Amino acid sequence: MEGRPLLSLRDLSLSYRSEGGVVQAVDRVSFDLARGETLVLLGESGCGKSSLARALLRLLPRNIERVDGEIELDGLPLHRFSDERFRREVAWQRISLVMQAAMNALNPVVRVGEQVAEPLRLHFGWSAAQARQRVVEVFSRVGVPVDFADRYPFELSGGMRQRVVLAMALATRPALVVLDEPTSALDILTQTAIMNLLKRIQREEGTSFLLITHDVAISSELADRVAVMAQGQVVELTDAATFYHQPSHAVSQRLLASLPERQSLKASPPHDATAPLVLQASALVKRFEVRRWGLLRTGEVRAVDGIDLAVRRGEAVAVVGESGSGKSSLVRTLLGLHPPDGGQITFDGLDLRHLNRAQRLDHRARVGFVQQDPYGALPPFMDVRRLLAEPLIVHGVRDRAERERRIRAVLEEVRLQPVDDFLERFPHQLSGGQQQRVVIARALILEPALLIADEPVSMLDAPVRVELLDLLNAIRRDRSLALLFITHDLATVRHHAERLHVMYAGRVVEEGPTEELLQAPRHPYTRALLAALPTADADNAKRYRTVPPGEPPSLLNPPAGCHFHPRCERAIAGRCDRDAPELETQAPTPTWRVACWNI
Amino acid sequence: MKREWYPLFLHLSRRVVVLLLTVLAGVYLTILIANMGGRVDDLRLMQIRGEIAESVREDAAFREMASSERNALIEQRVALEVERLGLDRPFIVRSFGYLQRAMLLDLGRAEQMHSDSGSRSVRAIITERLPATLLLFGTANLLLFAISVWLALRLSRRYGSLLDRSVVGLAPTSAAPAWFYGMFLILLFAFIAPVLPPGGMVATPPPEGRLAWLGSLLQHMALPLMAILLSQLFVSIYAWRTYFLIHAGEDYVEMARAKGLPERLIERRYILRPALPPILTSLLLMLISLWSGSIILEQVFNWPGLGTLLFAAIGMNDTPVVIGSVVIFAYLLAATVLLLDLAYAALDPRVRIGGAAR
Repeated sequence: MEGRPLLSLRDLSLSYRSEGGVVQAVDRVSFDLARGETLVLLGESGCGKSSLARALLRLLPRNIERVDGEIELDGLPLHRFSDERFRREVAWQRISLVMQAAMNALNPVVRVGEQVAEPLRLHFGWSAAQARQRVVEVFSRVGVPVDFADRYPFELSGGMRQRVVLAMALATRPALVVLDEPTSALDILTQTAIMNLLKRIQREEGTSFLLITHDVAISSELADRVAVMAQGQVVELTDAATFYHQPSHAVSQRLLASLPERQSLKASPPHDATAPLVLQASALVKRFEVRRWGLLRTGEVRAVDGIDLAVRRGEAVAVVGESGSGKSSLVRTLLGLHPPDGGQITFDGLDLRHLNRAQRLDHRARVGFVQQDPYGALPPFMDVRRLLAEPLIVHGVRDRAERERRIRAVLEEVRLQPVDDFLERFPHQLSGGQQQRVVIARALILEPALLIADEPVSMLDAPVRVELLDLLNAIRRDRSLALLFITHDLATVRHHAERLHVMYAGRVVEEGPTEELLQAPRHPYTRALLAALPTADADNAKRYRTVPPGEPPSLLNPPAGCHFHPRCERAIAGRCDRDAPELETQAPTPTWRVACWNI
Repeated sequence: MKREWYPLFLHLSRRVVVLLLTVLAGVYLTILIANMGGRVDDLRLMQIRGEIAESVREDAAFREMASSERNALIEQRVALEVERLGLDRPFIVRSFGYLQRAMLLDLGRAEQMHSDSGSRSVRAIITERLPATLLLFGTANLLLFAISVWLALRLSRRYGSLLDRSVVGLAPTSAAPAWFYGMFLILLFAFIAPVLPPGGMVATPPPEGRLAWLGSLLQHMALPLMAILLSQLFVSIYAWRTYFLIHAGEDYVEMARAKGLPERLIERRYILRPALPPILTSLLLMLISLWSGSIILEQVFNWPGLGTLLFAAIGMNDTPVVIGSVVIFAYLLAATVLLLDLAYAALDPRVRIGGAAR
């Protein structure tokens, strides 16, 4: 790292005006970034990392109070540049951005190729043909088929869109690319593929990256150095090897301790296999018909394709699958929100198809539901007391004192204490973790026998995630609650579910006891998921991970036979592409079943 | 882009079928209502009988006849007239005949009214009035669109400014309908400060020469246009500025800014373009509501359009003209909606390619 750094920040400060006064978002931050280096800005939400990135790109909101300090890029004193000069000479030519939400980072009504070509034509004055040439180049660089250039964003999968966004950031060959949570909305295999791509680009083209993330494990995939931010300040700035093995600051230690692989294993007693069944689903099928002209059936989506599932009292079961694998349809079917097209669901021994009105209402009270996005799950105009009173009112608890007693009890159970501080708050006055606790409290207040949690922690910061998972576990033990986790993330369920079902394209491909299954997964898809699991290790940045090629299939026209066969390296021609394998028991564990011809 | 045109064609032809069915249902309902579900037949029978009896009684040639003979003659003539008008067949059967003719724009003959050129054909009466209505409301709508989108974009750029706050403050003025402002405008500009004509479409007698005629037309259009704009402008600027503000917060707008695109291009391509389909919808819905308000507004300004015609026809109980006007309105509405579909398909690739790609 000789010579001048590419980017150099000196005492950068940034503050906003808000209702509560002036907020110091970035507080005297200084660091250098060398050419070809990746610096990670790591921190929990609200630590100022995104504000810092926005200041670099001059994407500051209107309520900015003041910006101080010096930013030098490539020897140019950016802090002295006018907005217009910055736009003409720096924006996208020397510094570009990859955004978090690939879904929304592209203009929905403009072809993606055009969007990539736009800055080339504008800043470099290239002709349409020249720009097109470069678009073809970067598209093949990031693995987007060239003819996708004429498509619109909604025609691409999430992974493809993120590749297009990446192509856009690379098209002008900027010296610095700011990556703002580049993979956090993606499935794990797609995420890993994108990370591989970023590593290759950095190695081959010497681009510098500034990676902004809250995810410690992901950060290790690229980091040369790590800057940990908290409350607007950089609290630790060190090289990757030191950071991942011996972090010195308390915030860094807390972040690293929240990694799933660093959780101490709590020796939970083996679950009683004879406990009564709470929920049982067998050969469950949920189809959605695709109609054209409102009448003609042109196809069907088999979102849930013959799934068996059982949860016993006091047991935690997890269903793991990527987006589009049908896990949300499974949840909705199990909740009774839409009737299954085949198979049977029994709850507490009662067949859900044959419930009368009173039984149906009772069933609603016996199943609690925790959704992914706590803010979206809570009506903004109700305070906590009202939110928690509602289910009680619906289910006929008329006595006000009795309601108040139960509300207080359940708030204590989810550790929102002191209770009086929370009763009158509205959702927007709570942090994400507190909101999710309220959601859990609402799900628990009717004393359910089963709790279905759909990605309960995926929107939260890592340390809060750990707290909430521990909370759910404690509640399960105290109440002997049956718990069904739905998640895309193997890591979060690792220590929190006793049994695991792995879903792919509407079917379960492997199921069994979590510990054993994760020790030695047998289905190629489970293996791929496990291999892609990010772990915090400074060496990650130096190696590529193996990812199965391609993308998850559309459920409208899934491949024949085993749905995974086009991506499977061990697929047997003439067999895997013809007949779908059944789940078969694996000796010596009777509950471990795998659907693969290769076992 | 062949892959885009085939689904588009399918989509649009389906929309045409649906719209035709809608018009069909609307027109048939109008026929049923305007004929009071066939009850009008009894009224007309009485009317015919009365008229014939009158004419027979007054005819000197029949004065010598015995009353029974005269009654038989009257009955005979009534039967003849009934047959000529087809009243002997049940109403429900005839109603389909009416429907068919109405859909084909064969609108029949007016009972009382006639066109300026003296024709009794309902179609002639309506086609004489239609251009005036289309001219006034089409112009009003286009002006409204251009002014409010332009201003809304400007306001969204610096919301919270004085101009912005005053537009927001003025938005409730749209609670009053256009004819309400029309009356004040006439009072103000035609009588207190007589600079503009209070009503009509051109001066009488019409001025010689194309240019003079056009000038006179514009003068006459000024007040009704102002009335419409006053009643709609502020609320639509307010609504669309809010809409643009929401759209300006999208991630792809921020991305465009990061790409260093000039502000003007961002506004046009990243804020206005994606927001355009819903804006067009509200614009055309406004056009439709203007049409339904045209009856009173045209009356206030004595504008010789469809609204005035319909008003007069209802007053005179001229069923064929009422039905004819409604048929024309229904077709205009359907055409508007179809236009909207076309615009949507042109503006939004998700509509154009939609299901085919997924």
